[in-house]
Amino acid sequence: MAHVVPHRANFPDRSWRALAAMAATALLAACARTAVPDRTPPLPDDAPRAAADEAALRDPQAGPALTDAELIDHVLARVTFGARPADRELVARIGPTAFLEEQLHPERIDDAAVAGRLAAYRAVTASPAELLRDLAARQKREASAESFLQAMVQAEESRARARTDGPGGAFVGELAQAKMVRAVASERQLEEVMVDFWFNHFNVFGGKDRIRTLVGSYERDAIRPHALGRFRDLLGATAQHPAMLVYLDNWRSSASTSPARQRRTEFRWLAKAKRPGRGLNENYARELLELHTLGVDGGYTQEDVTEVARCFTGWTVAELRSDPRYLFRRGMHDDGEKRVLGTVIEAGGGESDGQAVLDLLARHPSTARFVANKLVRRFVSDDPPQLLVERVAETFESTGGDIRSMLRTIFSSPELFSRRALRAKVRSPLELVAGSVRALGGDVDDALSLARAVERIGEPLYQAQPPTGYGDTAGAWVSSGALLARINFALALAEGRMDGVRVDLSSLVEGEAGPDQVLSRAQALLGAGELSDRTREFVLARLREVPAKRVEKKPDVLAERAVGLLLGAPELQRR
Amino acid sequence: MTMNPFGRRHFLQGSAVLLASFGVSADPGARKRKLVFLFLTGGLDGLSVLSPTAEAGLRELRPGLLDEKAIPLESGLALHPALAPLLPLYRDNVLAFAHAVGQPDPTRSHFDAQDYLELGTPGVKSTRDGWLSRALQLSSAGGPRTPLDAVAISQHLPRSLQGGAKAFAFGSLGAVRLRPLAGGPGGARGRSLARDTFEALYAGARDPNMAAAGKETFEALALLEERLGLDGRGRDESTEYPRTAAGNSLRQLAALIKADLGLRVGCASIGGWDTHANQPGELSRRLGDLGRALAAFWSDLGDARDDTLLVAVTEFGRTVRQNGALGTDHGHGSIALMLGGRVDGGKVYGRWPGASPAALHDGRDLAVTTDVRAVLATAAEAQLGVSDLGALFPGYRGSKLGYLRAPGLSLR
Repeated sequence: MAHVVPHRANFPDRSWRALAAMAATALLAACARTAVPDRTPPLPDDAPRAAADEAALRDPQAGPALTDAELIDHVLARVTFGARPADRELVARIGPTAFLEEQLHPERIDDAAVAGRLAAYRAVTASPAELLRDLAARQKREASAESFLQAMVQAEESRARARTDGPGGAFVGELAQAKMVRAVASERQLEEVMVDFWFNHFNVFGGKDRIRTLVGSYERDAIRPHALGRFRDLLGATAQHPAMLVYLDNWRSSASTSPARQRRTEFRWLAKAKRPGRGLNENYARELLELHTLGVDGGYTQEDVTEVARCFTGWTVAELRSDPRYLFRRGMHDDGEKRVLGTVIEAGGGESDGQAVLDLLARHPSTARFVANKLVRRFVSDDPPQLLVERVAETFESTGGDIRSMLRTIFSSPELFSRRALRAKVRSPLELVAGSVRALGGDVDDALSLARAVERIGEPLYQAQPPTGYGDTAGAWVSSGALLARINFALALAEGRMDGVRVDLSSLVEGEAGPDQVLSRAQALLGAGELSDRTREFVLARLREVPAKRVEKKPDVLAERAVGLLLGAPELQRR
Repeated sequence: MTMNPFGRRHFLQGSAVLLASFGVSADPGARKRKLVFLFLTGGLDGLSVLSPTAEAGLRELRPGLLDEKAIPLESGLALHPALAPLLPLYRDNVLAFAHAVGQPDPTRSHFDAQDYLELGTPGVKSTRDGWLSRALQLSSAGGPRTPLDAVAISQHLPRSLQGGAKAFAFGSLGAVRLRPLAGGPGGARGRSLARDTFEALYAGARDPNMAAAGKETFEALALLEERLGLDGRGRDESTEYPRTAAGNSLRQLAALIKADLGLRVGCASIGGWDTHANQPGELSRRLGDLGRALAAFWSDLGDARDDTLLVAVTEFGRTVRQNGALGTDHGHGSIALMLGGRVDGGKVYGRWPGASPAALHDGRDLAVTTDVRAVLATAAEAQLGVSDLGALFPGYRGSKLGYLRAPGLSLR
């Protein structure tokens, strides 16, 4: 966060701050998107400090209040993919409050360097229509491959690629790499965290044949613009994006007995009656209620699912194979009266039926609670403190689902800054890989090896099959095979053996530092916090046994071993 | 080398002691039933695997796909000639097929159909656990579990094994190992130093979940190293497998089964069955590969044959009519293959639905007369002791397909 625009902490009063913020926004218009206006005031000065002190008062059993250093590490651990050494200095200088407010307004943060690097990934920048044209051109080239043998080799290679094989698999690979670039290098860390959070909340599976060319647009056009905006906008954008319409089959859902269909069947009953994919499909309706809004215990019935599905009939996709885009087809729509959660949606509403359902769901208290619970789980702990969930749900309701406001409620809560929340979360594979590279100040020339590491540790990016997306609790990530992959990644990264990633550990061994000193420096660099005496003693013993000759030949070897052992240790699997 | 301050755990010293600690007898005669689930992804053309020669209509619908060299089996069905390596197993009555097998859901999306099959709930995507994970949780068979209770030869855990049961996924046995530590010895010594080191670090973890995962991981590593040798040395690799995905997966599953590590469920998936174009050549190559891999697997299993049941299924079949590119498109009914010491083999199970236009599903695909869950349920009951069909396949009201000999009547 080196390129921060004015530090609002320098302005004594709030109206000045607002003005300054507006000026900053204007200055950065070139790289900024339209900013969603603030619905709640900025965090009060020193909110995290006050919250930490209050947490210690309220809950003395949790231990003393977080120290300033712990507070900084904790803020960075929750709001970014992991602290870079320079981030700690920045937060120490401007204070956690200013840092959080800055991150809550990504449009005010210059991120030109990363934007430039992303231009290399066509799947990130191009429209689905352009990607489909690329794909067609590539297939044509392959079809006219010079020799039969060449074609066979190409086919074999493309098959070798697990479930992303087949046409368009490369696009998902590009997206995964772009995501790694952003997670490691973007200055707008909270925005990236929230894009990841919402993509998972409204998951689509990039491996499904027709979705591969749509995923880039889905994240760019439906998720990212609203990641810190209003929940209702997010809901509406995902509901009408071709990726979601295809993933959960709504594009094929039509009235079971629409008048148009009845007419058809009268004349050609045999042929039409057996056409596949006709009729109501409840997939989207079910997941909309269960996963996107109310939650499984949110108080809806199977009848509600069916009625919601009827409302969304006709929300389909035009020109799926050439220029996919949302389209309402009246002929597929069930125009009868529906009753959703006790509310009557009158007959003849057409396309507005679906919008009415989204409005109803976005206003429903169960949605506020469900979303609040998920946010608190992401930022605070696997077992979300219920009082905080209630306050965040209240913020949801009082601000019309303003995401930035909900985050402010969390970012000023004693629950977040309680000692109980310190390192309470297991790092997801993405967080582990991106965070480790950030901690070491690594330069990423080619993100492929990082994307593959994330996959090996259990989170192939854009490839979560189920509509639930990836889990956000320790149980989802702590397993035998994954642990080996975590440790192997740590060892490889420390030794500079991740292709395309440069790490420089020479500062750890500067001045012929011995094992003790190297370990302390590595600990500070990685934000390892307090290691148990056992771990420290143990790592130290392993450092001392490196033969002097080895150290003489290659002084970095001590640093490599120290960093490898720490990054692979249980303490560093948490944030 | 300095001593590890935590000390090396004693039970790692001898594999017999280690296995005994999981309740697994190291006695090679111990009977442990194993279920191998082979998922043929992409939609296998069952009509090419077992071609109904008596269906006159096929000559018209798929003239370019009928192979004159197909091997007649029984009452009007002929085996694809590339599967000739399986003929001895079929004649030996350890291999059976079922025809017109599939899922009731009409989807023709690979993703949906694969998902439905792996979840065991056609039409329902929100099911939490995969069918094999449920089978393991419902299992009444076997004693305490080893860390290698369920294994998938795969980069990540397949949907069928995701859920409440513990399972281990790895791309290859060779990948189940740690890198050596920087500045230390390389090779096997370096890796075992790394293992001891991290084993001790995780044994000391404050977080009980992390400590438990560490324990499982390092026990699995130790088991594999003790029984199969670091770097795979000490493995019996005398059986010749094709050097393909099918061959590699089955070779590794056979190695795990033979090493008697407590494995109960093995999983692998083999892709490439999505033959939209040039099907005859493509399919011959792939079926030849599959046939040779399965024959090698069977020969490799040796004494473990009686305890092993392999079931191979696919997400859907293909259109009866060939398309313009001498291929076929996504269809409905296909075949299943069952191989095992207790299989009542040499037979093709199921009811033939016919291939006349009126008999076809949607007028274009082979209909489904045997729910794939009927095939899987039999396997789960026989190999894992799962008797609660409703819990195994929520919403399934069908029965089990009887393709096994009664216990104790093994002919082998």
